[in-house]
Amino acid sequence: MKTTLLVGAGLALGLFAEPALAAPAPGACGGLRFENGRLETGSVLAPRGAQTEACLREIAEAVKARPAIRSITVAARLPDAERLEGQGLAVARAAADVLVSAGVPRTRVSVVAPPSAPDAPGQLQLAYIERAPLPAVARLRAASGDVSVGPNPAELRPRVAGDALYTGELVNTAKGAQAELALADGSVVRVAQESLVRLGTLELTAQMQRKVQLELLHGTVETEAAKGGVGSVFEVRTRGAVAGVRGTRFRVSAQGDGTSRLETLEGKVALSAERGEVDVNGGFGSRAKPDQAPEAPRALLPAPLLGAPRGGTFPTAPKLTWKAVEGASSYRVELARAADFASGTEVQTAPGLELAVPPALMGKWFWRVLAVDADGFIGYPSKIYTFDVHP
Amino acid sequence: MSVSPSPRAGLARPSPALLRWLGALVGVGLAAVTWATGGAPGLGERALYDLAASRLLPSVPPTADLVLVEVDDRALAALGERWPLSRSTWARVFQALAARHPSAVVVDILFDQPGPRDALELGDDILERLRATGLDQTPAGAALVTELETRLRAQDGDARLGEALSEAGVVILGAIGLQEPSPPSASGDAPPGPPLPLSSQGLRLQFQGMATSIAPLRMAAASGGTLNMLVDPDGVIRRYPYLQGAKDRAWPSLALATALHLYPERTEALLRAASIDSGAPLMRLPTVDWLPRVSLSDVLQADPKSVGLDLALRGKTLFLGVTATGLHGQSTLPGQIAVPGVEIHAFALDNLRAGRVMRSAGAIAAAGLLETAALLGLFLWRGRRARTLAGALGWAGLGLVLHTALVGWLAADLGWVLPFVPACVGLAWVSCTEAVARGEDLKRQRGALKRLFVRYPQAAPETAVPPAREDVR
Repeated sequence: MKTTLLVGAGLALGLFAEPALAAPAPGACGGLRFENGRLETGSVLAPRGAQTEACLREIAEAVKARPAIRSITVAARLPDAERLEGQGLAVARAAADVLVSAGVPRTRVSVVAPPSAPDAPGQLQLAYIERAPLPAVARLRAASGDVSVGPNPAELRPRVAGDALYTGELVNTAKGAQAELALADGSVVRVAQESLVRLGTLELTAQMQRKVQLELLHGTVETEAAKGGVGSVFEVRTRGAVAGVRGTRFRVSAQGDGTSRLETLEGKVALSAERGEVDVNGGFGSRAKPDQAPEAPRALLPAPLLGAPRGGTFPTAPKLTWKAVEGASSYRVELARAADFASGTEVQTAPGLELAVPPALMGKWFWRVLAVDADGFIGYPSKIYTFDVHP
Repeated sequence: MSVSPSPRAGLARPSPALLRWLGALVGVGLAAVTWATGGAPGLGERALYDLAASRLLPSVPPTADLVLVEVDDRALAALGERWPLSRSTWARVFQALAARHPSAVVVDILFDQPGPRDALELGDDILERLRATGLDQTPAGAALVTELETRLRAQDGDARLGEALSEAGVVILGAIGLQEPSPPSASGDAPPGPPLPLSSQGLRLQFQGMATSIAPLRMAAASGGTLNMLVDPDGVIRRYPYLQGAKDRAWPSLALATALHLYPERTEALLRAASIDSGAPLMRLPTVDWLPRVSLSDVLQADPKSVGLDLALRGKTLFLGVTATGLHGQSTLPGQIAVPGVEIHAFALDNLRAGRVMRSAGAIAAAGLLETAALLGLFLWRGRRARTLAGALGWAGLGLVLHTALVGWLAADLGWVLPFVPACVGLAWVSCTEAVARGEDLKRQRGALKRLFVRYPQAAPETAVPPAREDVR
């Protein structure tokens, strides 16, 4: 399987997911809902009258605002005495004319006059057909802090775990936030705090070949690429240069100065820049500065050996200690509510070999430490231990 | 030399009485399991039920008002279209059927995706450009716009199909229950028609979501029902799920929706019958070729004034489904294989409106349990008192005959299907125990007599020699 990290190569992503069809503010219709192909009004839509006409005009505006809607059917459900011999169709046509006069193309409006239930009052009903929705390419498996998603930076909206994500959407994590994305091919992408990732294409074929493209605009992502068939491509692109990755588990960071940093934890990664390409095996890292060839792979720092606490309950927040790792300039300490560190994770940086846990952290916590070298390369994570704070 | 005891020496042999009671308990236990699992046919009696239902029970009498309009190989060849047919063709089909004034058209087909719209969108774009450039203000441009609008209207198969359904006014569309939540689609997940005023709790068939026809078609149709079948683990369909639960509501099957549409004055009775056996009663089976058939090619190609076709379709309930090779569902009924699903909906409708559905769960299964217990108890009581083994087995045979007659009569006349096998298993077990016990008794008595004979030997009277008398000499 081949995974590629492309830095600086812009992705041409034109397809955006349609936003959910939300309920507009109540108007002449008493509220409008586009639901399962039916256009529901807040109040029963009488066959005729000024109120009906105003509501139809409101509907026309709502339809024009949704280009995915390709056709509208107006049904006049009237008692048989008012429906037969073309009377029902005439009522439906009059309603359709209002829609057309309000700007809905005539070719997209059709009329029917189906029978109504006995003793039911006459009413107009509307149904629509919309362009098939785009398939979700990922799901937000876990989210902590402020995680927002949208088609562009100006339209980012908060999202929660379980939400579907579509091609072209941007995933943004604020300071202290992180998100874990489950891609449709089974791969997992962890988006660190203060990161912005665009979901590019994700194609799966019958031969288990897949093509995954992510664009890391800034920040850091850690990726566990699922196994793909021969010829599969997994690409992560960043802004300042071009890098390529082949591997199964790796971290990519896009720094503000255009430098792309890669840490391969498992498998093999190829980092490609404009001036060259280098394969980075598991346990090694490399970086590509703007307009420079990628550096030779360097060994990642090993996992630190943790000292204390290794479990137990404490009345106040304990002090975390660990052994020194040669070559480390600082240590990244991660504290999480769950052992998978997928959500609710607090990240602290410690220059020394100990860290005082913030007093605000109460209850049970999992913790681990990663050594960071002078160039910011993050090493392997330590074992995970727990502590419990109960005053 | 020591002798090790036999491993079986320590096990006390159960008494014959205990074995008899155990046999009876096995029979009653099987009947209880049948009750708890929803009624007959239960464990080990499905094949027997299939044989009885298809060969012995009276079959459904022919009906004249249900007709199968089949999309068969001939129809596909005549239409010159590959499956699935275009929406415009379907619109033509429904217009042709509506012209024969049927009482209902029941559709075993799902239109869950919009028809292709690429050409329509291209036409829309051209119209928009014509208007944007002002060409539509010229005489030639205006004529072009008019022609384009007319042709686009004709090409909009979904809209034309909706109009055809609405004009017919009697079309009942199908939907499919899904075991996972419905994916977002144009068809949505709203089941067809309004939900029934019944609880979905306890219904045999439950769904998480529903795939239905697209909303404009749903809106234009008269009603709708689900197409799902209840398939037993052996792949045979014995029950028809008239009621199905989804989203905490009860929804009608295609057959029930049709019955409610045709006989609105009998709504309560129909719902009561449909609720039997948790909404999925056993079906009485028709004979093969029970349903009159008309090929769709005949409907489309016949002269509009055709009296024969009019007689065949006017006022009838038409079931429209696919029977072309490789396209129809290969459902299996007891004694019948490769039955198109659309026919099963027709059988089910006929069962329901005629009140022929059979019941086996709830009180009937409880009655089966009591009958099994009574039969085995009677045999335990009478069989033990029989003087000979033949007498005991005679009581068993009599019990079996009575049981068979009762189960057969209830199924044939009242439509109550009692468990058959549990009582048979119990009778066989107790009979075997009785035979073994009596054989061992006989053996024991023989041994006792033999020991008595050895202890007090006596010659047979005819071979006895009188003792010699000393005084004769």
